[in-house]
Amino acid sequence: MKYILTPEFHRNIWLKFSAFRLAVAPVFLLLLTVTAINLTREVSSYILVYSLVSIYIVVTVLWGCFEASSAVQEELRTNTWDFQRMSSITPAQLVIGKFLGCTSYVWYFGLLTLAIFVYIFGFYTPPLAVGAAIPLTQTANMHDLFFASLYLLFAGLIGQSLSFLVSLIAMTAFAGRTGKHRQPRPGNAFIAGVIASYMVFSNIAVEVSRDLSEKFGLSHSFSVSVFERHPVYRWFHWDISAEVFITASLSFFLFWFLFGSYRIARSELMYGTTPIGWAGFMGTLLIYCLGLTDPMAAAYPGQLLGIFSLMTFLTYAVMVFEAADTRKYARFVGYVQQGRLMKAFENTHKWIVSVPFMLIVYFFTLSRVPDQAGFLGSMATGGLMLSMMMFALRDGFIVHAVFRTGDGRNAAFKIVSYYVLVYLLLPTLHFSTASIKVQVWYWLINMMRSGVAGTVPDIVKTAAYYFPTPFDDYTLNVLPASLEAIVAGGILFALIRWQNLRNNRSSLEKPAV
Amino acid sequence: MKMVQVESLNFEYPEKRVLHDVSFDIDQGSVTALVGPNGAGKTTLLRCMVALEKVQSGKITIGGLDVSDHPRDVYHMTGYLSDFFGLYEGLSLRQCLTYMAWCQNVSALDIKKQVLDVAVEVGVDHILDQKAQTLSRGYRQRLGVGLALIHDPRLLILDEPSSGMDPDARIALSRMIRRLHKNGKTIIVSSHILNELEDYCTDMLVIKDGRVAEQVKLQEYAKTAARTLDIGITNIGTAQMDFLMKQPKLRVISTDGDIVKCEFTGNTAEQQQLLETLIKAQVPVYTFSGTVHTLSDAYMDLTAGRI
Repeated sequence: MKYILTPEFHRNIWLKFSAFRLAVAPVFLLLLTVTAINLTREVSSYILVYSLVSIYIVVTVLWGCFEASSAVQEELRTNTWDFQRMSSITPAQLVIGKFLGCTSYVWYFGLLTLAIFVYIFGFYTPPLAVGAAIPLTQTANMHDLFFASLYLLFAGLIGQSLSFLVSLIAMTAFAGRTGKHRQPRPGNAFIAGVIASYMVFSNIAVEVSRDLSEKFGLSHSFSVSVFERHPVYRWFHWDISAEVFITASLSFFLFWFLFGSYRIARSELMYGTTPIGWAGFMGTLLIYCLGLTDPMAAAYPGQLLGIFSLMTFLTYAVMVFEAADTRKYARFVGYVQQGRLMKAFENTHKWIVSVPFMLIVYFFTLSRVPDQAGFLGSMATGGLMLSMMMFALRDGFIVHAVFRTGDGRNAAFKIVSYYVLVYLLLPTLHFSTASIKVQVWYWLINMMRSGVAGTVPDIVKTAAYYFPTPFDDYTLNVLPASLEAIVAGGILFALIRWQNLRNNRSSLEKPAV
Repeated sequence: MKMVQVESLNFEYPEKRVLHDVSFDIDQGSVTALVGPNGAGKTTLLRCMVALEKVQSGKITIGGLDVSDHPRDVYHMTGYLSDFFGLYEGLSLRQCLTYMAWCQNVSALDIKKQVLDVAVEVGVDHILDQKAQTLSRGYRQRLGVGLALIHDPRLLILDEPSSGMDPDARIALSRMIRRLHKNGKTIIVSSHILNELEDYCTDMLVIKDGRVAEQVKLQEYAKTAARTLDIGITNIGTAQMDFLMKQPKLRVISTDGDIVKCEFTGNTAEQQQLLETLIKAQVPVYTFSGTVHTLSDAYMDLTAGRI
């Protein structure tokens, strides 16, 4: 309880609750219930339950994600964040207090709605419909009621926790600035949370609609439930029922969203924070994903490639978010020189601990994918993976270099310009001559019609300069991508070194008095 | 005993270094004015001192603790009010102070007393149940100081505490800082308003271009620093002017009728000696007044490199 009843939770309760607000939710829901029951008695319960689910989603997902995404942003906007950072509050108290606190009224409203929903869905006997030819189902399926309610809870929690996490991550992306200049926009965090909630709700909680339809004798237009599509999930060698697997999966992601927030809070509160948490997330996510692959399936190489892509994407994303604080490199070197390895580890960029996970998947894939030529052969797949890794590192280094050259305020423009240049303008210029266009289109059309790549024209192979490509010959794809990554890394290294020398020189100068 | 020790501190934002090899000490129980032009690095320096920023190199010690290694312990002994601090507008002053007391692990049994004591200290005890959003600028500042003081820190750091305050509020703030100083707190105040700092500061640290330009103890400075002398001489002539200009440690700045404005770099005994010399030489002195330099003068002297 000491983690829930924190000062931060108390503060939010003071701010979010008043006698008026306490009364509004039950009065509104009571009015809705009475109105729905009296409006059309034939389908009253059906309308009511759908209204309640809609209200629940609006309240817990839309409102909840908004509250969660703007909690920290509000602290930064009103300049109260430094007070919290300097207080004795622990990271766990801060995260739990803030997360539960900022969504406390949302959950008060949402849980009341859910309680009425459970009653109507599970325990209320609907009246016989006027003119109904068959008696309606009178008993509720308690199993489905339990899981429908549980997943509705998860839909809200997953979205809110992701919004909260993304808002914290966005704040760290402004690490080069101070005070109010660190304010991230809450929009991205809100959208991320709503999408996550939607994925949970649309895939799982639509179970509600099927059972409702059965209970109230009405047809439904929702998709087939997950339970019907996948009654059993195979994870590694274990067959796990859908209910258990989905619940465990949602709990897994909910845990990492909250744990991620906790780690960022640790860092903000100036506790020593190593990238071990990030490594834990990458490792467990890798195991989770590997468990879902099927070594006997034809799509196995594709599944492994998908996992590698996920690892690469996470590495890429963390590199971009860490770009604002490239000062860590100098601190890392400084602590290594002092022999303070734990401090050096605390100042290690997360992308550095991500790379081993990419390599693990790479070598695992090479050992599992058949040693054959062609797109899904080990050589081509390996080439594609290595070139993806190198392009990710190249872009990451360039983004880091961009943030070294300014205060970050126009970094987005510079980075977008870079992407447009390397992924659009340069390839377009390269492939723009008429004869090349004919060659490329001819090859592409042939490949799509026949399903095999055939002899790849030389000009197509030069696409490897710009994009990850699945060629057997590593000198075509891995080598150019590696060279580009090395050059980008060299630019970043040279820039940091030059700036350090310049700064050291300027430190030796006397102040201009 | 030293409360703050800063050695070879360097701090940089990603694109540029803003603190260059900064070193200084601050005595326990002192009130230090941190002054310097805009963009000199004062706020960054304060944020580094209270462990809100990670330094690039160098060492900051507060109360014997290395800030980089023990930031959380430094928070316990430090109260910091930033230049743009915010309040929880929807809470009452009592709730704001109680919340901060909880956050600072003030014992549950002591919270009520501590809230009241701090409220009295900063002069908001009569409006404790008022919402923060209704406060004037002066009272907001007082509440901000109260929030920084709620855990009874040994070191209080105030960044531009009087900006935007009316004269009454500034006087109240000065009194409050003097009271806190009297109670044994070490205080660092960053401000542009030098006249106010003069009321309560014992030391001055001048920061310019991210470097320490000078650090002085104001009492010692007052003893040795140049002062302006206005010497009134009846029917002043060339001979008398020549005599004046020959006096040691005296520099004639200007004349206005019979009044000669001079800069004198001697101490009070030497000033007395000068007067005696003038009278013995039968210079018809009818007025002889000295003006002790203010903190503003000291700042101007320091930044002009005159001392």
